[in-house]
Amino acid sequence: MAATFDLDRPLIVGALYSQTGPTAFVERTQYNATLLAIEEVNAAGGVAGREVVPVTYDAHSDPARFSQLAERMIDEDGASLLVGCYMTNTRQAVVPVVERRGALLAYAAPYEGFEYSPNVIYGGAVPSQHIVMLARHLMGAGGKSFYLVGTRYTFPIECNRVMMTLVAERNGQTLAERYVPLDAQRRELDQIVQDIRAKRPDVVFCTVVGEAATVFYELCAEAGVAAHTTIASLTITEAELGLMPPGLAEGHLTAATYFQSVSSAANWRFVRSYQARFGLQERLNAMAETAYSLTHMVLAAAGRARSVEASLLREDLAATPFQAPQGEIRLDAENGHMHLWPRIARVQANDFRIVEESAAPVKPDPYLINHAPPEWDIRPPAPARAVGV
Amino acid sequence: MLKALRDIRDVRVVVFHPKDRECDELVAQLRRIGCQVEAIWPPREGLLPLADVVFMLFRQDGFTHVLLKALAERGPDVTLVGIVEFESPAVIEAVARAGVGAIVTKPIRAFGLLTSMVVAQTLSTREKSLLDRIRKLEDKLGGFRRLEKAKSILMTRKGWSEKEAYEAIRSRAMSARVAMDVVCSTIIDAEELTGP
Repeated sequence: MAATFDLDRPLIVGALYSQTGPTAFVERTQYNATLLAIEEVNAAGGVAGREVVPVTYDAHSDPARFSQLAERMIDEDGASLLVGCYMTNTRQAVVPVVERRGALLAYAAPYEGFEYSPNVIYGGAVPSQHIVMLARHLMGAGGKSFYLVGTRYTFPIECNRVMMTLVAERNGQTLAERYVPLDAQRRELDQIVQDIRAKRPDVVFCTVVGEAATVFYELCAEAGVAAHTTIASLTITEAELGLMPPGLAEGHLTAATYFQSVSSAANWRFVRSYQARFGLQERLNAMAETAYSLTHMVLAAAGRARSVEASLLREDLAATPFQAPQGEIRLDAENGHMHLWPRIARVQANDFRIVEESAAPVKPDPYLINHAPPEWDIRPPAPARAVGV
Repeated sequence: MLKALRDIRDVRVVVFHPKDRECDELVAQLRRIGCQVEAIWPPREGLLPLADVVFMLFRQDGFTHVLLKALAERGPDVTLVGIVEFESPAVIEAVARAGVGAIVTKPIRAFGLLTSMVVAQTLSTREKSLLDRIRKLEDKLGGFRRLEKAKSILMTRKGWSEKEAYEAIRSRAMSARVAMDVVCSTIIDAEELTGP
């Protein structure tokens, strides 16, 4: 069973990512970051002296395959810890597998919240950790009319629900809510872009994920949408920027807990090591940073607890903060999610320049339904630092 | 937004379940959802704390019986969610008769609790408003019946037409500044006292 901790044998970690499929370009960076963390742990003596050995397969961005691979990693490869998953439906496919086997999944991406499993550590942000800041920023800058576009699945639909509520609370207006499939065709996206051009919203809130996101930004640029509209996103990271020709997303905003441009010693080390290992042209992003920090945290906890049992790891992590590239983070003992650092950045010269960041880590509240109005006016303990316009 | 969803953080929940790991897990999840939670065990006779939602373990024992009695006295203001550990017909019947809005099966897990609670709350709100409407309709129907009866008394006694009887009741109500229903009741009472 997963809970044995044999000091004479290597510790197998299953890295659940896609190397092909529409989300592979992000998941590849998550995989690299997981690998980097494992190599750093091994270089520092392993987990209580045990060498950490990663196993991975190509999950093809396919939930059914994620679930099969999770079973194979635990049952056949002897993995006692799993790290990974990007889209919500892939996590949902893996959760029953780890619950049945008493194993642990460290989930390496932001998601829509409303989940708790004793067998999962949720590493990424939930809506209370980025949408509220983004909505406040956009409406504070005069945004009144919003146009919502997303991929048709749980995360964009829930994010849009939150965004619409916040917009309505502040007497703004949602002009449209549109969804496209993960493998959306150019023509379908173009119809939406033409509609955006006709409606001239102040803000396009974009939660299109996968390769379609790049096409969407391209079409927006072609249609000259940027002239009177800001595109704001939770999912356009450095990985998506890397797929776009320079200048395409200039001026647009993303809210996330990490950007490569975060200035901290831990982040400089992270970026340097990653680029030294995978190539100087490689760029980091929030999903990769989450995978990296989470892998480090879970392995360190396993070493301290001399166990891979989920409840012991959670207990340890709740008491032990980690110096992540985004800042000091820690696990919330009650809900299994992380205290994280919300930030907003603007694309400038094909990079993200941070324009607002929380002055303290924000407690995760994955079951928050009604984000407005009380939370709206509650500022972080110290006022958010403005680091730009 | 659905009211039961919007107001979920104002909901006061009481859990009646023996104190064990599953009970802890249930209470922890209700707190994650953001409700105010109190776990009580064992339940005491005649004492039901203030609650909007009650989670209650259905067993064939005295506790279950006492709780159900207290809940029945409290009326439809409390939403009941049944926790079940057996699927025997006797338990099913008890759960169905108690009027639960949702059930939670053992072993208890976090997933599904929010949905169960919101569905149960929505159902019990709907039931309450339907009961209110039925009460109002019954009142109205009784009023119609009394009007018909009072008119027929006047028509028999005074030899008036239906229209004259109606006008008489209406003008009496106007001059005495009371509802027509009050005049009708007076006529019916007097008829019962003095009639053949």
